[in-house]
Amino acid sequence: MTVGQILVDAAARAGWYGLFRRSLGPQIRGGESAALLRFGDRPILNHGDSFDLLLAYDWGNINRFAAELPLRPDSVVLFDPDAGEVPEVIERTDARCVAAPLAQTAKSAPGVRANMVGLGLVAHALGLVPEDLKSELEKALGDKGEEILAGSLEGLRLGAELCESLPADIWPKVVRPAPLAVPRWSITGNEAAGMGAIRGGVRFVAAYPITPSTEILEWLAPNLTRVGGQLVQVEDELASVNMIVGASFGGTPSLTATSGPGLSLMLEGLGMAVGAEFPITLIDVQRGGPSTGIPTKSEQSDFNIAVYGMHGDAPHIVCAPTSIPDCLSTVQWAVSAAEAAQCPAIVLSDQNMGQSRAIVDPPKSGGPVAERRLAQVEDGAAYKRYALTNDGVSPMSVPGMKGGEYTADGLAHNERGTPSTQASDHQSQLDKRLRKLETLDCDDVWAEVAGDGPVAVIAWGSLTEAAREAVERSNGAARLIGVRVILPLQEEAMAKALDGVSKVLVVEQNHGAQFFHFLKGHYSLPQTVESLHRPGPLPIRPVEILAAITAMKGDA
Amino acid sequence: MNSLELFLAHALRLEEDSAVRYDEMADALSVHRKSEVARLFRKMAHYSRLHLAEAERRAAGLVIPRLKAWEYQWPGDDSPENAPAEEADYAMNDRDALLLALKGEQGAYAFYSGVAADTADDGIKAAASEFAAEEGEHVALLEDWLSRTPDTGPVIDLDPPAALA
Amino acid sequence: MNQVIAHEVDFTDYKSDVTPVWCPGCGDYAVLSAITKALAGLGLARENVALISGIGCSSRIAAYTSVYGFHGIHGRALPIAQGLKLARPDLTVLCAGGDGDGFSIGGNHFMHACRRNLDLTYIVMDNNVYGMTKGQASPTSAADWTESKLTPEGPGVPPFQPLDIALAAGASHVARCFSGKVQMLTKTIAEAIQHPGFSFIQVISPCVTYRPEMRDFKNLVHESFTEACTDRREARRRLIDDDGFSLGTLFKSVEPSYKPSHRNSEPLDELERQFAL
Repeated sequence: MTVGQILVDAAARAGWYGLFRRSLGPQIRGGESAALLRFGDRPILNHGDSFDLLLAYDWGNINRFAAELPLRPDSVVLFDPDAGEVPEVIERTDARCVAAPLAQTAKSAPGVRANMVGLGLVAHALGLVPEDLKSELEKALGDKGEEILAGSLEGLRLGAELCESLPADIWPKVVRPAPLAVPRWSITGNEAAGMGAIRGGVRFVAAYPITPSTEILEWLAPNLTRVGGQLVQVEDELASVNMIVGASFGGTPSLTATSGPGLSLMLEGLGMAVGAEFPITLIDVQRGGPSTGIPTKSEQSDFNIAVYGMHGDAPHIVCAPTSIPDCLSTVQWAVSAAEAAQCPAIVLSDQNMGQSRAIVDPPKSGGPVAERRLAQVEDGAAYKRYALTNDGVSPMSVPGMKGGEYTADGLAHNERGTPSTQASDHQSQLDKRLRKLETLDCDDVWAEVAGDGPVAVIAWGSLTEAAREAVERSNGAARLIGVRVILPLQEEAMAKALDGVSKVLVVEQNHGAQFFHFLKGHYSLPQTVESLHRPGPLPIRPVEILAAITAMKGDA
Repeated sequence: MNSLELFLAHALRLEEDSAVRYDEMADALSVHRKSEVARLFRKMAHYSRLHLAEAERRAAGLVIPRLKAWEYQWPGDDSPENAPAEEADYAMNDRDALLLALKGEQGAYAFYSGVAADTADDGIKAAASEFAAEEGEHVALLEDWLSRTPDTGPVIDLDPPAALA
Repeated sequence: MNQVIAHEVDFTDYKSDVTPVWCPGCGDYAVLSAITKALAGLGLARENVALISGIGCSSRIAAYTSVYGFHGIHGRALPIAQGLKLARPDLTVLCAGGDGDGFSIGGNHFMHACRRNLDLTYIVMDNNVYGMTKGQASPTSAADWTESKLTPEGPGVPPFQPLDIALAAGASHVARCFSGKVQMLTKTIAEAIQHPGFSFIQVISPCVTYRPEMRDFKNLVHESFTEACTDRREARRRLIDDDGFSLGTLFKSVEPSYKPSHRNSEPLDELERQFAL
């Protein structure tokens, strides 16, 4: 994995855009793993259709994840003959298999390891020069000592030599991009989410680790303290969600991050934040479900629980970043939207974005910052925490404000917050809580819309960019609607985006077509609505979406 | 008890505590729709407030020390005129309520008489004796009231307690 | 301890105008009285105090005070209170609830709050029963208590030992009081608020509706924890002979409470520099 990281960062320095995803086995250390990389001279935000090159150090447990490595007959497989014969599952792809003696080459000099030979080989093929790699190598191995570094550099040199000795026609034509004026960012979705939280104004985070969201929390721990905030590790997810509600009650924008099993535990806390009206942000980095599911692999199957999970009528915000860099802006927006609407915002990221690294242009600075509508209180006047207002937002007091004392309550209550079982109080507070979401301005962020073809591909989350690529390749047959704001519903914007659309293709990564049923239930759509859905961990690729578009077009 | 001011601080606290306690019991019973008994406690709260006003008149012009709740020198753990709230009950009748009030008034009487007996300060002795006499009158009134109030037994409620959460 | 108000206030100023739904005779009235008298005695400004509670009869207490309150969800009062205290260390934070809320559904939070040792005060009104759901056995009910329809032969498990567990988990100030001894309770609450660390007070607070025999507890309690010890092992030894009715402050730690790490205020673009290649 370190090798993959070095390669992507070195390539980025040389001017490439790139994307780096990991596929890991279930072991804590030394399990089978694959570093999946895609490079290009324009932003790369999806994993493409298939791989041009598979560099195989060994074939351990290949059957478990060969499906995640789609190859074409014109793909090249470089394999180490010392690692045994090319397995049937790879041969079956008809890809061109070429022997590259990595282990043997490594043995030719002291302190050289095969992974560095492989890195040198691929780097050379990409047109990277040793200078590009050296600084990344020093960054990655700096603390391991001079000897290791020297051995690694020698490995890179030997790898470049080995590359030269292989048939020249196995390499795709590579033109080295122009040098960069402004340095790009190398960032994972989880890091971007953490940065978005800080930009949005989050200064308190309660944390319980869970794969694949932990890196958000780990990134925030040191970085929050740099901006005056704090992160506290707690005993369980029940504590983390309730702690951030407590901090929010105190006036501090607060957040936690989790994955499906944690979200299940947090539902009661989220419901309280709806009923008692406190802004909190929760990032769910989705993995395979149900139950413990597949902790290390991606899925979009928490859609329903995020949208419908809470008991009672509980309007709230659900949004989803559409790409790795968008994790930053969507989390930032979610924080500010939660604060504006005094309710929880659930951000649905997934393993695919969260744990993948992208080389991207630096995002614009600025963006929305949490701003809570505070009450004007005076001592002696009875303050109504849950006052009925036109836009549904009741100005809030925070402890320390004299005259603003009130008791927040998750029980149904009247305008003052006093528990009430009266039908009219229940109705008016439910109406109010819905109204503040209906009046929340989402126009600028609700979706990624592109193209104007008659087939609308409606996707969300990490499949948005795969769908975008398919739409771009559809020769005008399709348009993209990558929904970012799932709740509150955006009926007007959707109607506008669907203007001129005859058919809809809904794309999502889960078994039950959850998003498809949601759209059918809540939106007015053309008569023909088809679903392309599949559970994780195999991502839906642009070529599959394109095939579905083509089939729908053909039906016309 | 070494000064009139300190004594009056106790008297003021005692009467206010007692009024608050009676009101609290009245509230508790009226929330549970026991308005008769609630009215009785409300009346007792009223008497305590009359006493409070009297103590305030006496305190006028004096600098009364401000004590924290745990700094009062009560003979027992609680403010002495406080009716024992823990003996209140949903099923209590008027007579039960009067018996609770009687305990409160007896407590106040005992407190004031005790102070009057123990103090060497003539001013305190005079005031404490006067207050004790008034509480004594209350005790007598309540006893008379009790003699005219038959024990009707516990208030019967056929419904079991309800679930609320 | 926080800012002290300039003008004099009475304890009734700390009560709200909401009438309690508690049964006549309930011990929780005395706890409300003690909390408000402690706040008045300490002269804490209402706006700088927050009382966080969970769900259950006693948890209703938040709305009966006039400080900032939070009547949250069952078992989660302590996390809410701790989140608030971490975010707003300037506030005086109290947390209150019942034995079911604190020791059963919230038991894990109780242990970890003791461990975390934030400067807040946790008051559990222990009535050995679930009142709001019609009188089921709570974690502190005796194993052979057979009055509940849910456990007609008794819960059959020994009761939870709040003081032992608080001590073992690291609570910084541990006390037991009785609602029928309101002055002692008031003083203990005031001391707990002033104690810089996690203070836990178990208040035996009779439920007159489902546990009428608890009215007699007034004859069973005894003030045996006369002087708080500062040695945790010694405090544990004192619990060996505890009959559950010993009252007083058992333990008072001299260890410092948890403080969040030092915080800086760097501009955001400094942070973002780490992503630039």
